[in-house]
Amino acid sequence: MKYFFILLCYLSSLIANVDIRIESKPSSAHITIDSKPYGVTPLENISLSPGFYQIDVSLENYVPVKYDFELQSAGFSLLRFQLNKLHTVVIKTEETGLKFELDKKFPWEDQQMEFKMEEGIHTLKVFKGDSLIDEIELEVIQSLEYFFEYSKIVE
Amino acid sequence: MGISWIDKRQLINFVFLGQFFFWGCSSVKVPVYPEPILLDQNPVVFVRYEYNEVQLNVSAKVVDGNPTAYKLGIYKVQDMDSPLLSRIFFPGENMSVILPSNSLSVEDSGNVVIVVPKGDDFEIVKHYFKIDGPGPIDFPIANIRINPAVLTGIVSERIGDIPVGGAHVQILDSSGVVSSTITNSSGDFIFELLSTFKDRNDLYISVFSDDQYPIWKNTINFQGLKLLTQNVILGPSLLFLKQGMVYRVIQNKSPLREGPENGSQIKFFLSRGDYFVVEKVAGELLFGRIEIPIDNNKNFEQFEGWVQNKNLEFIQ
Repeated sequence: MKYFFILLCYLSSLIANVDIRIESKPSSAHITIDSKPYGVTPLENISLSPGFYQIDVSLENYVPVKYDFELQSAGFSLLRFQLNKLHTVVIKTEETGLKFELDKKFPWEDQQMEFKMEEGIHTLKVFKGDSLIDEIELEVIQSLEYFFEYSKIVE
Repeated sequence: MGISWIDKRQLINFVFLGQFFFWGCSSVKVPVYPEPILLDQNPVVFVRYEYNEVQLNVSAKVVDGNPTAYKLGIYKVQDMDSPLLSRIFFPGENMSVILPSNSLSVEDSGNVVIVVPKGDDFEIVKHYFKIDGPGPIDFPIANIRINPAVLTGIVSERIGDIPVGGAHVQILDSSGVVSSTITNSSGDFIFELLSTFKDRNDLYISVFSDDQYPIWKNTINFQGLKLLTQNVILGPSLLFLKQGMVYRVIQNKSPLREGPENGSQIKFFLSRGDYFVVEKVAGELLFGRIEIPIDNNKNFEQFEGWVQNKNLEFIQ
């Protein structure tokens, strides 16, 4: 009788769970669900009960994803993550006394700096003292070196 | 030393320049920003669910009227304001819908399918149900009819106003019994008749109660309305019973005669269950009176006469 109830509980838990497949583009991303590692994508036959989960997706040179997910009661669920690439960008200048700022929140003052930047359009602001002297849209679609010349603006 | 002619300072400069020529500017390491520059975009995630499905099959049979369409609504009972699904079907179409099983309640009578026929004053059909899992659910055939003409009433005894349960109530027309029912323990009865009955004037109601009382009859006329109440009071008045010894007629068509002699004129025939109050006896013949309801059962008229003893049963 005891084994029957154990079997019944096991079966009922199977009925309640949802089969999940997790994919990513590109594949081979590491997946953790509520801090428990599950392996690399594509992942199949993950069985979870309906509820709230945090899914972390990480792949070298791609933007890591932290996704809060409510799994609904269903027969099957597919999750596909589109990962955004990180490119190496070097920003240089020969000018002195300039301050730079990326996307309103990443400042620096060095004449050259290397960044890992998410693919997409970023805003570079250049200050001399407190004055904004230039604002540039940087479209990052590959690794690049950007050379800032202040003299051209003066001309 | 063989190379003593080279100045030490020159040697250092030579090594430095050599390395610079070989490695170029890259020998000067570019500082790396301590954190990645992200765009704070929401992650691009595609989520797809595949639900187990429940197929709800509803069939309709038109009993009365000509519906032009059916509006089918599926509701969770706890949220009757928002249908899970609402769809119009036309007569002849297969009324079948598919829903994800997780959208429906597993509680007893937790869901309801409502069929609203269009085109006239039709009765709304409701089927309550629960789901046990995916698969088809076939509902009983929905009888589609225009809202019926309803006749209700209570059958009770005149003395003491006691409800008469188990009384047989019939609706009749010239061709015979149209519908029949039996009163419940409270004496209540209800008839749901086709809507066309509201316009008929050839109907009458008949009530009988296991020979306890004579058959009670009256005409019924809805006069175009869909609800009519007809209460029925059975039995004689108390005043009548106090006039003598009470007998009950046990033989249908028992003659009530003018006099005790053979061949005396018959006033009319008594029915089984009629009450007969006896004043005097002459051999096998009893003289007494009978109470006949008149004016649509509102008043009574009494008639005197002679009845044979074999057709009567003494009560009190």
